[in-house]
Amino acid sequence: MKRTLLITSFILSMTTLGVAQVETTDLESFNLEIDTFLNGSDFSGGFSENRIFLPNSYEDTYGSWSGWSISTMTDNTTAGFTNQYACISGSGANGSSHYATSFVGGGSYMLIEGDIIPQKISINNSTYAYLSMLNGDSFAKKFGGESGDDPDFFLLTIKAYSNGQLKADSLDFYLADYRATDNSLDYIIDEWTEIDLSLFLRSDSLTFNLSSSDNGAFGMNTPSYFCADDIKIDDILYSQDNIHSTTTNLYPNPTVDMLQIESTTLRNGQLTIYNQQGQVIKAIGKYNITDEIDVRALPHGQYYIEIKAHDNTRWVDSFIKN
Amino acid sequence: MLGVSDLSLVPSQLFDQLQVIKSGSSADYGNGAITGAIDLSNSELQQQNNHVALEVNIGAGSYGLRQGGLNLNINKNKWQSTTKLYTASSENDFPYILDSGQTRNNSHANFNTKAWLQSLSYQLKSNQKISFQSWVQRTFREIPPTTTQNISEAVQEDKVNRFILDYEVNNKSYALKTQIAFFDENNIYEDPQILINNQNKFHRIISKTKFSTELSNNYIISVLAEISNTKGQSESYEDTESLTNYALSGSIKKIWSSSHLKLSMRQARNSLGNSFLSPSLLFNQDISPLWNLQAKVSREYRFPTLNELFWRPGGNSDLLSEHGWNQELDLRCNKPESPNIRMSIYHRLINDWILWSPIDGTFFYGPFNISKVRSYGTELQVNHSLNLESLTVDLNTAYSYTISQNLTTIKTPKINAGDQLFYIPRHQLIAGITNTYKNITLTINGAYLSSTEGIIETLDGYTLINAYLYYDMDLSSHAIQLSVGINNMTDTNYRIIERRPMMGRNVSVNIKYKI
Repeated sequence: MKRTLLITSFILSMTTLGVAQVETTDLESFNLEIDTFLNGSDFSGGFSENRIFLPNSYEDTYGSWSGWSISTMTDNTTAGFTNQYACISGSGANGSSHYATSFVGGGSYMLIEGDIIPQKISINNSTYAYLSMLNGDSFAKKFGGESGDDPDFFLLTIKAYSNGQLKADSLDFYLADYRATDNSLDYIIDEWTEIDLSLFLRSDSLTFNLSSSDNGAFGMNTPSYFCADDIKIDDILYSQDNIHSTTTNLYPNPTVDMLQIESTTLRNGQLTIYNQQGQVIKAIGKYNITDEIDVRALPHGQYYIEIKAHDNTRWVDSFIKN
Repeated sequence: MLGVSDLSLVPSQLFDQLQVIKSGSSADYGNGAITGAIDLSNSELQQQNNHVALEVNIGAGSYGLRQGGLNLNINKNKWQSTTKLYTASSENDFPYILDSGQTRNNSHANFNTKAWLQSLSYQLKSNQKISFQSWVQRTFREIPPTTTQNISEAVQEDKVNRFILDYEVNNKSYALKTQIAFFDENNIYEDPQILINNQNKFHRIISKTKFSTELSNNYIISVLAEISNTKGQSESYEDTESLTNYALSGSIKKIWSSSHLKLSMRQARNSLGNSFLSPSLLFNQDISPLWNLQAKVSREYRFPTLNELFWRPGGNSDLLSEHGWNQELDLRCNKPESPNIRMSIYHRLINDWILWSPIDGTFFYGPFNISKVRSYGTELQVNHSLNLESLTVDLNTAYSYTISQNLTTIKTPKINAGDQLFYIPRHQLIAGITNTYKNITLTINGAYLSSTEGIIETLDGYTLINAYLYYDMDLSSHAIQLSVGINNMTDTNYRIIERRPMMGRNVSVNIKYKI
């Protein structure tokens, strides 16, 4: 009887908590007409949707911009600088109309409100960069070079910051890769590709840098542009009542069997462990901060741990189970 | 626009004389003549009344080369007229070798030009002449793709209309020449692939007056006053831009029996407030019956160009002029029976060198005075003629060693202090031999240039060998010349600019008919 009640209460808690919400920033709220763009000429300083801020810098003297733009340009055939805002797929991710195009000078960045875990981002090549790599132009080489065998590449590197601290991880995504010996494996990205960002854990900003194999005395010859859309963050892990990790620590992380929480503010509460899909994996109704948490049964992967104290304050962190 | 002339647009066939002045020449030739000048001119007609001379030439060559020209000189009473017409076209679809060893044909490389040079002069009095010259030229060229580019649709069209009116007085005691010129130059660059259609128009008016006199005690004095205004209209400029240049220069030359000393001074100024005083001191001395020594110290300058000042985005109206001191020493041996030898060494240090670099806070480039360049080197020329009965042999060799170094480390463009300037070879060797036997002339010349640093990669050194055979037939009042030429005889695969192929072995034939 007692066992049945425990199972019932566990099922009930799963039902009430449900599957976590993922917040997607798809930029459709800008509601632009097709084949238009916003490049910061109104000196807005950037573009916001949901909890994502895409900074923009516009220089009136030269009519130049850097950072991010919002685009609905559909031209995926015209080469050159005059078509700098367009994406090679001619639309946003999943056939949507809006997407962001970044001109990366010394680096481009994205701000995330709060300190939450970014989940995914969709990336594609701009028309300008794509056609330059495919056909070459007056300044940049056709990838593969004269022989077709040059080991060329166009690389997007993403890094994350949390509270001003650069995280150790970085993520490399090849927008074009001709390094394979077998030329049939060479590619230039021309479709929206979703990238998993969850390795960065909690972050409040992401930086984007481009590098290429085609360089000269004046720097990178490949046009320094890429496109982004559908930025997904984990909604359930956001809370204004979140207790910052400076008072509460989780260790060891990664772990193979047990976890321990050390806190100067938390004493006890309801402990819940979620997987990356937001599903409840483990729940402990009455958890004391001094207790060890047994995670031996969890499969390898990344998880989120939440403690909700009796005064409704919440603490959230993530850990890796090896 | 760029402040330089595109020499590929100047048909050498239009000019009788082409003189290369290898010396800092700002004091004599003005803005931009830091390392020298090229003087194009036509020789004076013979003072022969009712004289008509006609020369027609046609030629053809590899890769669709077709060229033709006509020179008509008429001298009647006090009138002299010279008409020169020139046309050339080429498909330039030559093959070249890629890094992989594969052969590819140059494409979209058509070139054609038509030029008309007209000179008309009237002898007002025995010592006074008025003359008018016009140079009208239309050139169209397709811009071929680079070796790492699939397709190019870019084209460029250049239209020039240049007019000069001269008035000259030549007395025993003085010479006066006043000149007014008008240049109308249009350049259109189109690239449909990237939706570029740039139209650039420039008008320039020049007025120049030179007075020179020889004083009884072997002093020659000359004074020159010059004013020019250039108006430029371009889609890359915010508005029609105008720049006026003023210059006042003078020189005094003292001649002794075996030497002379020349002091020149030029004060130049433009409407933006750039101002420069350019002195030059030259001393020439025969140090033996065979040898002559010349030493020169001068201050050289270059005002910023229209593009550097007004280009949008990036133009910088606060640019300073490039400037610096130049020192040269020249030793010559000019005895007729001996080889002509010329050895020279030079040194110049140019400050405020202008380079395009990223503008702070933006990702556009702009010109800045961010570098200093030191240039020094040596040149050696040996020319000798041998007369062996009916065979004449002319030998010409020249070697130059050039160091042109950036003295400033710059981040973008990436330059380390001490680096050789882009595309400047350290070593150049030119050698030629011309054999004339009766009415047959054979010329073989070769050139070697050492490797250069490009903005993307190092360019290998190369050797080119050319040969030309001429056969002259004199038929009383007529003359016919047949010529055959082979350029790049060894079919050398070479590049002057990265990713731009150069023509391999090519042949041309030409017939010239003269009355």
